[in-house]
Amino acid sequence: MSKLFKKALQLITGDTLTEGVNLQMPKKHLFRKFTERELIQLESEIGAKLFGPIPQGARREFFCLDKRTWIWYEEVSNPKTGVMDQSTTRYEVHDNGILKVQGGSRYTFIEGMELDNFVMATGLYYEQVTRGIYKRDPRTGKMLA
Amino acid sequence: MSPEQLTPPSFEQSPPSRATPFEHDDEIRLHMSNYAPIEDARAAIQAAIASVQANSLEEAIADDPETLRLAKIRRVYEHGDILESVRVAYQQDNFDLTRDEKPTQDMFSQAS
Repeated sequence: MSKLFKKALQLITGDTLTEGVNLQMPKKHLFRKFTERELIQLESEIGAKLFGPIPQGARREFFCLDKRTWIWYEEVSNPKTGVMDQSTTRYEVHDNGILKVQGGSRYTFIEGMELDNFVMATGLYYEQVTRGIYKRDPRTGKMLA
Repeated sequence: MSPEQLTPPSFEQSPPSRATPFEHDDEIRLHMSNYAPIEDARAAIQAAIASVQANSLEEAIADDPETLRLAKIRRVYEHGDILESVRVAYQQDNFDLTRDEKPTQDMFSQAS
C-alpha cells in the first residue's frame, strides 16, 4: 500500500485498530466494506495501467480523487543516483479549464493535445473502473446483469 | 488514439519537469473533512449520467473550438461526479462486489 493511502487510512481510523476493521488490504476482497480510500486504491490499479506497462522498478498511480481533482503519481529510480524520484501532478477541474499543478508552485492550464489526451485518459478510466470495479454500465449507471 | 499512445506522465510530448512533490497530507485531510455522504447516491448517479448524455450531445454539435473545449472539461467533471456517487452507492450497499464471487445466503448473513 502506498504511503499516500497509508496516511489517508491513518487519518480516517487513527493509529489503533477498531473492532471488526482490518486495516490491511486483504488479498481476496470477499464481502468486506471498503473505505473510500481503499476503493480509490483499487481504481488506481486500473488507472496506472491505462498508459501501458509500468517499467520495472517503477510505480505509477493515476486516480480520481474527487470530481474536481485527478492525481498522477510516479516513482522511478534515478539511474545516476539510484534514488527513487517521486513526482506528483494534480489536475484540478475548473469551470474554465483543467489546471495542472506540479510541486505546489507550478500552475498551468492544459491545452491542445495535452488536454485531449487527459480527457481521453479520464474517459477510459471512468469506463474501465465503472465496469471492472463497480460492475455498472458506464453509459446508464445501472448495475450490469 | 490508443491508450498506449497516451504519453505519461503529464500528457505532454516533452518530458515532464521533476518538480518537488507537493505535500499530500493537508490536501487529503481537507478532502476527507469536507466529504459528506450523498443521501440518495443512486439518484445522484442517474442525474449525473443524464448530464453526461446531454453534454455529449452538446459536444457533438459544438461548432466552435471554445464550446468544444468547455464541453470536454465538463465531461471530465461529470465522470468524476459519477465516480464519487458510485463510490457512495457501493458503500451504502455494504457489500463487496468488486470480485466475481457471487454471494450466497451464508455470506449475506455474515455481512450483516
